[in-house]
Amino acid sequence: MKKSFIKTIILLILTCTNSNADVSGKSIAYACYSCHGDNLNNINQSNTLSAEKLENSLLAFKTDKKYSTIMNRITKGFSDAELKAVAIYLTE
Amino acid sequence: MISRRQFIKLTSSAAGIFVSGCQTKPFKTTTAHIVIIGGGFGGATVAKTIKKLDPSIRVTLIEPKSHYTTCPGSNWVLAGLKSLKSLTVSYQQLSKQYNIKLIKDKVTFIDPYKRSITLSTADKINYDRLIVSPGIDFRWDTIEGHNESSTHLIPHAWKAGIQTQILNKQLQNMKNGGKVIICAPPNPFRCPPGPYERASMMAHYLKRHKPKSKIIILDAKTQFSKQSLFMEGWKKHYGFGGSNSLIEWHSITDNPVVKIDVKNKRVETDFGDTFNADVLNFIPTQKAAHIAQSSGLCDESGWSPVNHKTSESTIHSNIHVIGDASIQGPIPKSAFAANAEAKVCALAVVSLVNDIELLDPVWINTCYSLITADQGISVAMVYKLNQQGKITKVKGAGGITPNSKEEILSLEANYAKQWLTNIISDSFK
Repeated sequence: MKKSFIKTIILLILTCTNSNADVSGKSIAYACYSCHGDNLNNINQSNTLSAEKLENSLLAFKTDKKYSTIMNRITKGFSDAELKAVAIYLTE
Repeated sequence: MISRRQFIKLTSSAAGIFVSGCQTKPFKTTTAHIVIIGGGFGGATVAKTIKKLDPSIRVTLIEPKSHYTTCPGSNWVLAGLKSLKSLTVSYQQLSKQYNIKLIKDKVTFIDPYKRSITLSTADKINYDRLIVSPGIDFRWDTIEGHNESSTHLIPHAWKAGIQTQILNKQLQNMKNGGKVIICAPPNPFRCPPGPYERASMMAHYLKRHKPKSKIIILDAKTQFSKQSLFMEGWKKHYGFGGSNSLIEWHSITDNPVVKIDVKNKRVETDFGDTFNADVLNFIPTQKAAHIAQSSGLCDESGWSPVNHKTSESTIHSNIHVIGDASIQGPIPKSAFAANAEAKVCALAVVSLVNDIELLDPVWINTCYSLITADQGISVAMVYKLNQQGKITKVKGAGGITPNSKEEILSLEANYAKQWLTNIISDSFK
């Protein structure tokens, strides 16, 4: 009885966590294109941007270590994992 | 040679099709046909995005005009910063590059039960899913003496093109010392900061060419988008708040405009106050465009309710509504939002027709406005679904331009101009 109660609680927590799950890198990337164009033409002109570099840059905006007029406001809408996912999607 | 990531992507999507295929139908036998009504930011973006995501889907875009003139940037025409030509795009590139069938016509009827639409030629087209992105229409029933037929004298300029041209010409022909009245509409309406950017752009022009003139905003609301930033900018550049201010703002929520004398360019309020203008820019109350109304896609509010995860109509299944016509609050009605909603819709539609799992959606919106030719402001937000499946603002994200130092506003103006170029390309090219 007690065990199944704990199981239910764990399941409930998992379900809730799941519905709050991170948005995929793909979904976020399409939102980025509205400003950056679908080839990221204004941030990756030489096509040398790595996922790691982009992720670090996005995290720096999120934590206000790097200043921008707009990116600080946008990156705060995403978890660190989401920023990593979009960085990977956009540079692969 | 495929990369590890491409391999994971391919195998996981193949697995997704296989698993869901077992649950429903084993094979995708026919090619899905998606029909899109309306070639604005919403319609063009959703057409392009579907084809990018799954080129095997047949996409037909129905739009009566051969060219589209963007509303974003159309206020800048009034300050002489942009030509209408530079804001006008054709659908040819979109159609050719992404293999989108273009039909230059108007849809007169939607049959949600037979899944077909009727064109003005009486031709019928069947669809698997229909995406309706028709934009706005105006409510003329709230005003006495003025309607669509007198907009050549009293332009709304809330759909860019000829209307913008009329307003611009009237402004240029006005005498020094003339009076412009902008009647700003009640919520909800297309482009919440639009009327105030328009006043700024008119003031930018008048300050240099007709400095004795005045712009009076009669507002149906008690407050407006980016109000503090606009007012700070107006104070700095146009004497706002002083006796010689180029711009005055009056909230007339309890005493709205009820009548217009078109010939004399005079507005009358509910209590009988009258205001005479040399240039009268009356922006009417708005609702979803006609086809959404006549197809029963709207509720009593005059806008189309949709499931926020898929943008599918909550009234008729297999029909999605996006852009200004749909209810996707708290996301504002903007070109940026229509583009964002189109992407969420395209991702959902491609998943639905291929019978694979829906991705969680996300929306970003940024509204840029110019105060002068080189000073800009913005408001931004990131939106996700909450536990109830409703669109909600992400806590801690977004907000207005963080400070109003000249160099920051100068960067914002640069980004506003770059953004316009990029979103036109992202939507139409």
